[in-house]
Amino acid sequence: MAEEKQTNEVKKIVPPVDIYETDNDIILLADMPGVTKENLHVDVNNEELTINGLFLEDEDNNSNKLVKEYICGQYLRTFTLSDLIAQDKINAKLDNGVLTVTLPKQEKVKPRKIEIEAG
Amino acid sequence: MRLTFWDPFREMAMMQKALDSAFGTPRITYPPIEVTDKDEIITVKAILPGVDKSTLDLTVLGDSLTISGEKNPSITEGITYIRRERPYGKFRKLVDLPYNVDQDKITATYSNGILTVTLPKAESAKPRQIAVE
Repeated sequence: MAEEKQTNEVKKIVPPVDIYETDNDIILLADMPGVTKENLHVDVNNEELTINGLFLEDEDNNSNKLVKEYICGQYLRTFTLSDLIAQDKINAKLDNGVLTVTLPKQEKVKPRKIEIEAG
Repeated sequence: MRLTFWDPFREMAMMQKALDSAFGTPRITYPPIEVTDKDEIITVKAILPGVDKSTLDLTVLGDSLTISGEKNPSITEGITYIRRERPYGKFRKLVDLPYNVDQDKITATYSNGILTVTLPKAESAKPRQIAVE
């Protein structure tokens, strides 16, 4: 019975991500092909960033499927945010199936150049 | 008397089959695709998030389609990677089509990270009825 139930549910897909750090930000890139802006949600809640998008299947019963190497479903992944991130300044952008989340660092952790006063 | 011939090609095919089943399903080459056939038009969809459209190259010969291209990181300098899971590099995939297609009527679009190629059946591949006089 449990197995039967699972087939009716939307399949979960863990999107592959790249995360890198620049001087001012942490950048997260997630592959979410097939997702449109309307089907994408990026939420920040209790130090957690959740990315959630739907890749809907073309329901066409008249076409004859010959090859299917990928699955459609729901992209879902959660990340824990460090307290060094300025949570109110996070922004996200979707471009060609790639979600880019920019997580700016708080001012206090950004690299600073210290001016040396002439003595 | 019965003669039995040893067929090396059959033997090799059997060996290949045994190897495939021993190692599970064959590995899917990048990019993963979907091929559908509707009203004598084949649609090939390839999952290619974040690819520069200008690097994509499609070649059709008879009943096969080759999708090739390159995916590169947008920035490489002045950054430190914390996690790297997304695939990069050159790719090339050969797609077998069920019949010959009309090379002049092929169209391709790229949106939301999915490449969609539509390939109508070639006139020469369509069945013809020949009237008997």
